[in-house]
Amino acid sequence: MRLYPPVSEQEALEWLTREAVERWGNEKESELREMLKSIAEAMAAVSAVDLPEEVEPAWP
Amino acid sequence: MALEIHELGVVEIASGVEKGSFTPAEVAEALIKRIEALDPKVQAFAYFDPKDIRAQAEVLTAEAKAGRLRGPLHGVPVGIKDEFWVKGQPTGMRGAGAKPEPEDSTPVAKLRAAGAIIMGKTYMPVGGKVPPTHNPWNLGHTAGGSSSGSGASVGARMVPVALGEQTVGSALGPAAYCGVQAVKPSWGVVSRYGCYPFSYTLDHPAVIGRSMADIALVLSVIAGQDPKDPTTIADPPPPGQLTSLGRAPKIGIVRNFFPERTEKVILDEIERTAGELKKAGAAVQDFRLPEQFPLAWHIHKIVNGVEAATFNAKRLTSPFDELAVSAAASTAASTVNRALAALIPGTYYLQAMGVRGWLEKLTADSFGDLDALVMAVAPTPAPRGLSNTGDPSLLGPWTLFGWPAIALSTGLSSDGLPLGIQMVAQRNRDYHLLQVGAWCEEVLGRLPAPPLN
Repeated sequence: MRLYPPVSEQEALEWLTREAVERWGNEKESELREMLKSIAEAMAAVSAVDLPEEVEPAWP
Repeated sequence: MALEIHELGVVEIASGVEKGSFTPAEVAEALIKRIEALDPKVQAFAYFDPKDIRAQAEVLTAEAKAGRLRGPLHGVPVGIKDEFWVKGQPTGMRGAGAKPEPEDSTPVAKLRAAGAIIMGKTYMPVGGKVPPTHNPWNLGHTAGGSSSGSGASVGARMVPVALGEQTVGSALGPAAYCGVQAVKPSWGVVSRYGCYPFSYTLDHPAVIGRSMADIALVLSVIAGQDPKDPTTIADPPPPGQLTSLGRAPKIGIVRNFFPERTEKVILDEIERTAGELKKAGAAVQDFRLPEQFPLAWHIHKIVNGVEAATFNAKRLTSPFDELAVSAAASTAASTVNRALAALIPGTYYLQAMGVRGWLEKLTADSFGDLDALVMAVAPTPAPRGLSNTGDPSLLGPWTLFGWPAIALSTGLSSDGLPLGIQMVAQRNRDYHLLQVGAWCEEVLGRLPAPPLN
């Protein structure tokens, strides 16, 4: 999944659902999709942040 | 009238043992009786062995009588969250059939070296099951989580202090729900060695106690660099004796800390508390977090999710293994299904870690010369029932930043449940925050024991 240009929540959800179905099957696709919503929301939120290039991952 | 031993705090017990007013054996016996009387109702202890406690106390008593005090906690009983290794006792987080641990975690080893009596292991959620722990203020309500038993045991006066751990809001939440105080220290202040992991860069050992002075003394013992945990910082541990701040503090009341998701009873208590502090001389001003601050929850989800998915890769192979956990934490904005979090790409984890540092700096830059920020601990008082351990989302951002945070109990709701505030300072200002907390505690008072008897 690309990080840039920023992904929308819907794009992230579609991608995550495809990955989840590939791994765990499509019998419970709707249940998986529901559980993936908050991850998709988080992925869309952090990909939308245009960090200055000098910012590196912070290890606490 | 002299207080009974179970009513004494850490500082008072340590001082009493030092002066010979009572022995560690007498202290242990009093608290064993207290636990035996109340724990069938409260269910704070997952592992409790009176024989082992008496054996520890006898040795400590002989040492005290010979004039040899091990350290500042000689004879002080401590409860331990069932996430930390305690030599000879199983660790609940390892799951069913866990064997006795061959060694102590670093915080427990330091407690023993300072003379503490290890009273046993306190309940926490394990394997997706919420613990059976009840709130000592109202047995029909949760004690919070995940340091459920630690919060309840201190609240119920079974122990004066307990170790907790916070990855989202697991220590300050239970403390607030159970009417006591807590500190989640800065990242790296206390070693995580022997603390069963949830999340490599978010897990913080914490202290739940009844006063800032008690908590400061225990923190001074368990803090410090540890070669077994390379993330511990080199700074010397904070002093054990909490000296006066020497002036009234400058406090920012956070006005955009999500009032839309917080109940009126909590918001009203913050206003009342702010008024009391101002009346006592504190410089109280409004404060606004950067508008980007809600990103903290998204970052927390990704970081916590990926780190937990990595650690649990062998155990959690299906997202449906986690349904119980998800249901229990249904209101927790920072919680994600750990098996599903394995799907998050590495680029997103590293981006989240970049945003983490960037957002921390933005927040630090807005802090100004304030001593501490004040805000809600949780959006509601302790929820009814045991199936929902409460919403930790207001605590998670400060865990993400690795900043010190304390919970102070300030009063009771109209239906008798504890209310409180969260105070936060910038990273590595732990001792200063405890001093500010002590100043506020002096003004606001502390809650009495719950009416359990």
